[in-house]
Amino acid sequence: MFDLRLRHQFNAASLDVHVCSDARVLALFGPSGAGKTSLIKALEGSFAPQFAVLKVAGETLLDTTQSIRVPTYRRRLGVIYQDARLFPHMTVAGNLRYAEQFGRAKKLNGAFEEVVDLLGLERVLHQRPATLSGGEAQRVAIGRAILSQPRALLLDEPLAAIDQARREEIIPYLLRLKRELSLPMILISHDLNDVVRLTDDVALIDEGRVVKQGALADVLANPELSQFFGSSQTGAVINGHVVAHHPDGITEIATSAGSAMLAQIETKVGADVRIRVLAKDVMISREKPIGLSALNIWHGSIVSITPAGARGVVVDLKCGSDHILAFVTNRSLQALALEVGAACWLVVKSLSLTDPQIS
Amino acid sequence: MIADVSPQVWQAVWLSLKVASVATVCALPVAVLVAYLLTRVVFWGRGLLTVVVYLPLVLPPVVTGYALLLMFGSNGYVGSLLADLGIVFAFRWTGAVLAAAIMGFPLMVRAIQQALDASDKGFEAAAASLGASKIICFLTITLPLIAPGILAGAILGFAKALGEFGATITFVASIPGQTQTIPSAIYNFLQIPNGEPVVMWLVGISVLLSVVALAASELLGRWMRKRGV
Amino acid sequence: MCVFISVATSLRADQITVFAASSVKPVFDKLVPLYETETGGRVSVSFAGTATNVRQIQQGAQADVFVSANIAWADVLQSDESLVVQARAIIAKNRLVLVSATELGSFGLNDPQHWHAALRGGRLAVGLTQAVPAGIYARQALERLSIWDDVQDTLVEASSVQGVLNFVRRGEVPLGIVYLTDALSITKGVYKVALFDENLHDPIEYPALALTQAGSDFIDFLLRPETQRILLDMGFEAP
Repeated sequence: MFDLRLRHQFNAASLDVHVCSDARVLALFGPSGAGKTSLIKALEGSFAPQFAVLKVAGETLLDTTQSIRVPTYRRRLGVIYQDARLFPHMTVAGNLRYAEQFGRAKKLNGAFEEVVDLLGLERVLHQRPATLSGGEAQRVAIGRAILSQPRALLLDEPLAAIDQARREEIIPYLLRLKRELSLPMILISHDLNDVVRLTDDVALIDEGRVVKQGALADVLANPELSQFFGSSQTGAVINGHVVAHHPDGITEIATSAGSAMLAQIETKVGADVRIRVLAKDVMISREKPIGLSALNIWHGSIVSITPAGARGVVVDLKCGSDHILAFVTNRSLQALALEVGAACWLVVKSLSLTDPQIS
Repeated sequence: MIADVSPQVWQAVWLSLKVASVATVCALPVAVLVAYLLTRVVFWGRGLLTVVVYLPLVLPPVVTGYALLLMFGSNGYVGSLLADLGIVFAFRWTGAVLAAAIMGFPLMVRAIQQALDASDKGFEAAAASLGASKIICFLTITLPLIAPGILAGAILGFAKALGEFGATITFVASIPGQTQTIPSAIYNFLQIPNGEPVVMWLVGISVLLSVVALAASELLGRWMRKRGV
Repeated sequence: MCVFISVATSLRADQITVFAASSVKPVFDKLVPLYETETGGRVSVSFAGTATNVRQIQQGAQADVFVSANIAWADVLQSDESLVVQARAIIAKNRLVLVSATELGSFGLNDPQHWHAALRGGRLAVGLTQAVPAGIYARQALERLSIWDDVQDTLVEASSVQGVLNFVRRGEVPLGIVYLTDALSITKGVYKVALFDENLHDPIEYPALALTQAGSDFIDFLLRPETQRILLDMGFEAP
């Protein structure tokens, strides 16, 4: 889907990245100033690197070695900007219709209604952009980008300008997009929560280099990368499916690591879900714990122990075929005599689904 | 003699309106293009073009008028060539239009340039990402967004054209019906002892025209703001 | 109040202000330095259209001398009750002449055929026939020659004699009517075609009005034989 190679020497810093992914949704994650923005600008066409070969969905957009440079308006990359950028002199419907004229294939009948339905835009069709909330504006921007029939979507920090409460207005729609359309997407974000919910592959970029690229679960569960995620965000993402809704309000989800019990989940039985297990929420015990209020107690063996500064260490445990991370203080490390290969019990204090419900 | 000048007065008014309108309508598209070039396109000679465009603003109008005479008179460098094509500026209302357009041009360009500078290039980038070529983007996104600036430029150009005197009289003199605009008529009657009453008439009509033009632009501006521009 | 100001100006004998018609500029440029050397004072001259000069003086501009290009405007100033005119004299006269950018042979001013032949469908440049003195005289002459009807539609009315000369010199018009002094001051590009008889128009006289004593002295200087010789050299005629 994406094969992006770029090298550029700035005044103070340099950029040398190669991102190659066949996943449908790829995230570019990393701290500000790491180089994500330059890569995106090169993709958009507003930045000309000294060396670059950019291929998206099979098309070469830029190749400095062969002097190929497709002008921006022919790249067919639907870009969703941080500030939505809806044309103020048109209504929402006008903005959407504007994009339709650029669709390559014959105008697909019903595409307009489909997009409006997909993104829940019926209510605002006749409003002007100035009257929309941040979340609504972004949804319109997404719809507009889709209607131009791009070969891929580029989401450039789409949620950065939207406050926490409003994010729920968009993320469910983005998930819906991912499920129902077959558009490849690149998401640029410095917020791990968004990345975790939406993407399949992650390229971790820092100081102009790709530190690690791979499947989301692999990258997140890599203890050496926990410094990028911050101690509150470090943790694994595992896949599972809903097995049953118990009468006492607990939902059971089957994962490779063990049965996950969560309260008040509305997802249908049988649905595939993603679960977030934060390292700070996992306790380790050498013996099987009894009499605890925690519902999620799993079994696994230690794969690696990595120093994590003041917090002590990050322990990587293999449970089933999933990797779970846990923070352990140095004192406990000594006290429990944890070592690679040791079998342990994990107590998971809290879990969350990455997929919210669409209301 | 003063009593029977009212036909001359109305002739001057009608001619002024005609000249100012035609000058504004003809100069405006060129002003938009030039303003766009100066703001958005980088090319060799950009500085030179800027100087040429703003020259009529700083030169004494009589000098501009004399330059027009040299260039576009029937013996002028360009005028003699145009005459073969049937285009004549010398001593005709078309010459008054040319003078008015040239004098108002820098004001138009300036107003539109300011609007372009203030407009958010982000919208143009978004349009490009959707598939709009530079021309389509200019026509469908940039132009509507700078429309208030274009309107301001048009009003300024129209007002300048209505009041243009020095360049006009030096280039095409004062010929009733052809080139005697309101300012020329005012100048004429100011030179005549007891010509003041006619002058007052002309001044009053000028003020009225300006008020009407300003009111029209205000209404148009409000309508634009309602449409979210 | 104007009287007070006039008196006040005359106390400053080292500087006088002259408001003069544009057509005397070339000769005044020669005369003023002579006067300044003689009296040791400074003369500042404002050249403008006669009507403009009059209106400025009426609105309170401090002038010691006003040199008009025609009688009518001088009368207007003199009849203004707020001003006191201390002296008035005609300092020079001028003639009207037909000019062209090319040499024409003999030209019968009263012959419509000559006019049409010379104009060749082109235009005749004159000053504003209602307002500029040179234009007013031109109209009088053309009317008395019974040529006015023939040429009225071909007229190009410029705001000054200089404008007329511009059009003639550039070849934009085949003919123009200017003062003799203007035609003589140009060495090339403009040719005298014919001189208009003095009877064909009101006398082209330059009345000078003194509004102060110092102004009166200046007028005396203008009337002196030596000064008059310089005026005659430039093409003016004795008053």
